[in-house]
Amino acid sequence: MSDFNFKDLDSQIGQDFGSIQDAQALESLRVKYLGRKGILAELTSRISDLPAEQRPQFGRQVNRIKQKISKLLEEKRQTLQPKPVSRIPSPEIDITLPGITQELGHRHIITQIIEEVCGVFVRLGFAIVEGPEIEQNTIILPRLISPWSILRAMFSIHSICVMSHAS
Amino acid sequence: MSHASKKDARRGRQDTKLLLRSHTSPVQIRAMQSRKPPLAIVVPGRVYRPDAVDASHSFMFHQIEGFMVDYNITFSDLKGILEFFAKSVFGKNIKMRFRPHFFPFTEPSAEVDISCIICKGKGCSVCGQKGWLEILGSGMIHPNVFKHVGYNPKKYTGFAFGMGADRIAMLKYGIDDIRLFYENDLRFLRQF
Repeated sequence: MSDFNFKDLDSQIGQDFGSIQDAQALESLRVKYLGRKGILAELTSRISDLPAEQRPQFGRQVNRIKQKISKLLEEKRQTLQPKPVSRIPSPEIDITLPGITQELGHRHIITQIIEEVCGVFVRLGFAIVEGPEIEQNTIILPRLISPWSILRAMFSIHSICVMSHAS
Repeated sequence: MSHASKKDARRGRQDTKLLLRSHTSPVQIRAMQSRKPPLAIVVPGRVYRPDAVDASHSFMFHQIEGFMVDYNITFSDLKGILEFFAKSVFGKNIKMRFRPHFFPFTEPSAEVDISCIICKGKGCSVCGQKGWLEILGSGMIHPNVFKHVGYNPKKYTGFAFGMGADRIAMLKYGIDDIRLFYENDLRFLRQF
């Protein structure tokens, strides 16, 4: 029993920990070596079967392996998971505060009124029709009934256009 | 008005130009030209006036016009439909009255008032102690308008009405300054 080859175990550990890629695999390695039915638990249980003079020597080896694995686990954990602390930009920002929410918009009061009024007439069978905001003056004020000048005064219309640039 | 256009107006000539519309009536004319009666149409839209901006004027505001054309459309149709409209928007308990008025494209014409929604007709600062609020203009479509769009005025009759959407909103919610609508102040806009 005392001829357990600790060198093989050492190289096995080196291989296992060297090829590790993620936190899950790391956890399964922890179980494999340090778990309740793991390799080290088994080695420890063998101590009592050994002759008394071999026990201290064997126990030291087991402890060495145990420390080595603990150290490797800790190292790997550090490299696989970036420290959570590093995600906090600065200690003054309280990350537990609620985030900045985007307010939902709503329809403008005038739009609501237009929809309400048109809705009443639509219920009565009216159709909604829209047209261009820029029109020919002859259609804006057709010369049908009143003299042009009266119309113009009534609707406060000028015959000049709105300037599209300041030149 | 420029000197040249004054001259044109006297001569009875009108140059064709593009302008920002001062009312939504052009849409009515185009709708009548491209369709045949019976017609019942509402026209909402933005309009522009060369007015100085103050609490009750804006260079841009919103109109809602409407009209109905068919055989035997009468002033009672106009009254019935406008009463339904006024009661739907301002509440069942309001009173309504027609006041004779002049509009160039309707004959006869009337302005429509509702009893003041604040003081119920007793007289207050909103209605200027009159007890009535003017909400729209209306009338029977002038036969010349029908001729202009190619309808036979002996065959068809119709009514038309128009209101300012901004004014309706101001009356309905007791807003005393039209500029509030266009200042994009969320404290104001969030209330509606």
